[in-house]
Amino acid sequence: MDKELLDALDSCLAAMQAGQTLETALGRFPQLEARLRPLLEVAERTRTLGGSELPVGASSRGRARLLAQAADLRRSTSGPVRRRVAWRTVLASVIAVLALVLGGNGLLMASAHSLPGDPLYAFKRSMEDTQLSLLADPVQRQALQVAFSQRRLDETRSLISIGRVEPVVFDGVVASRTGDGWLVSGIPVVVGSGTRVDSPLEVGDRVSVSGETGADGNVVASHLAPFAAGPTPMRSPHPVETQYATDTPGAGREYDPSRTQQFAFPTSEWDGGRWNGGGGYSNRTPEPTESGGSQEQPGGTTTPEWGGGRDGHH
Amino acid sequence: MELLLKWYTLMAIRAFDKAHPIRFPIMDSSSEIGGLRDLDPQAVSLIYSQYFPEVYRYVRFRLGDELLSEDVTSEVFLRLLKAVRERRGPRKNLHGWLISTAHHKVMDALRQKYRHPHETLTELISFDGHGPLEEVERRDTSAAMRKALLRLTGKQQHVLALRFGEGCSLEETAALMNKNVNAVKALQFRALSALQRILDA
Repeated sequence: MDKELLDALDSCLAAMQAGQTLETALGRFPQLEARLRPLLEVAERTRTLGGSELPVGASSRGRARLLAQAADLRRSTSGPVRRRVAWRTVLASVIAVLALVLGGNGLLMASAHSLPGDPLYAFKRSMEDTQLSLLADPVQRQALQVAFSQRRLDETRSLISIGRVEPVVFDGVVASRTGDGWLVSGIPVVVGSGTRVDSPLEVGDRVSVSGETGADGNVVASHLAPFAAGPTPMRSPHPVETQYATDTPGAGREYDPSRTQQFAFPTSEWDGGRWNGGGGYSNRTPEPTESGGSQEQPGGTTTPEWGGGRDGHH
Repeated sequence: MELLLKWYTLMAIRAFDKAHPIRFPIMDSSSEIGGLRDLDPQAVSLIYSQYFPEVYRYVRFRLGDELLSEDVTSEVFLRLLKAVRERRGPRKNLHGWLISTAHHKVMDALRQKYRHPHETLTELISFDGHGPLEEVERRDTSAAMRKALLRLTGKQQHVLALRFGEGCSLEETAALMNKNVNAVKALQFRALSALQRILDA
């Protein structure tokens, strides 16, 4: 397109817009007049299409309509209002998740230092069970079991140091034995006439000790069992129940049944099935579907049921 | 954690916005738009007063029908409120956004008119002081012009409306159409040439 013509047209239009007549505007471009004139005439006519005045009342009518529509929009739940509701939902979800994560974590942290007899101790043990159940690798599982065994020792030491009397179960190596006084992994254990010892035990043997912490800085054992084979015992076998089940004559100490309840882990049913060959809970909660089998157990055996199904070590 | 931080920041900004709303008379487009978001009647009224004449003139130039033009102009402003509310509206150039929306609304109205053609009464009954014969003549010329105008492309009608309806300068027209000056020069030349051909035919 001819740039000169375009510029000339625009120049004329600007001049006419500024108030010049068509002829005056055209006068500056005599060589383009023939081409410009019809376009400028059309432009003049086009200008008349717009009309000059705004119709009376148009503005106020429009304003009233718009303000009414704005009020409707404000009332409706569209836009930011709906967004605010969505935010509220998101906020609630975030808080719920955070509470769950932080709360669950906090419970775990709080239970980490709990001792036998503490309200959170059952939770701590059930979390250990869960951890073990989640491990498929036998080597990793064994490592975890060793760590948990160490925990039991630490718990027993803590109970002794604060002088609290609680039923305990732990594994350890017999370091020395002089008369009634044994030393198992650094913990003084009293093995008296009331203690049932499953087989002859020597210094250096690995043993599982069930008993109760005494106020005078030792553990009064009710039952000693050897651990000659297999991995480190991974779970406490509800020693007090064992005591009642076996009902050893002449047991030196009375056990408080309420403590038994505290020490049993309601969440570890699977664990009994897995590690104790399914017999571990038979005398506590007889399975109605098992005909007879579970009824034979109480008092009928002198073997603690937690050891029976494990490795056949006795 | 990162998400939480983002969310927190967003909430903080929103809280700040709410505590410190932008109020008139800070008269640049972005603050005008900010004031519209809450649909504050004062802000809505102020924007309407400022832009109604231009939008209305533009629409009337394109459509001719005064009542229809009022309706379409109202639709443009309502569209603005909704868009700003949903944060899809103009960010800086409010005038440009309104004119561009007006163009689209006019095209919608014209499509509808073609689909359901009917004679509008407004042109017949409007009387501005001229004698009956002159009025009829004027109306005929005007009708022929409008008929011709409607045969142009949407963009050609748009540029003529801005240049001759709104009286915008070349530069203003370029800014409103988001084009450069030379493109507008060429477009107005083509529009006038096409209009002349149609009228001469």
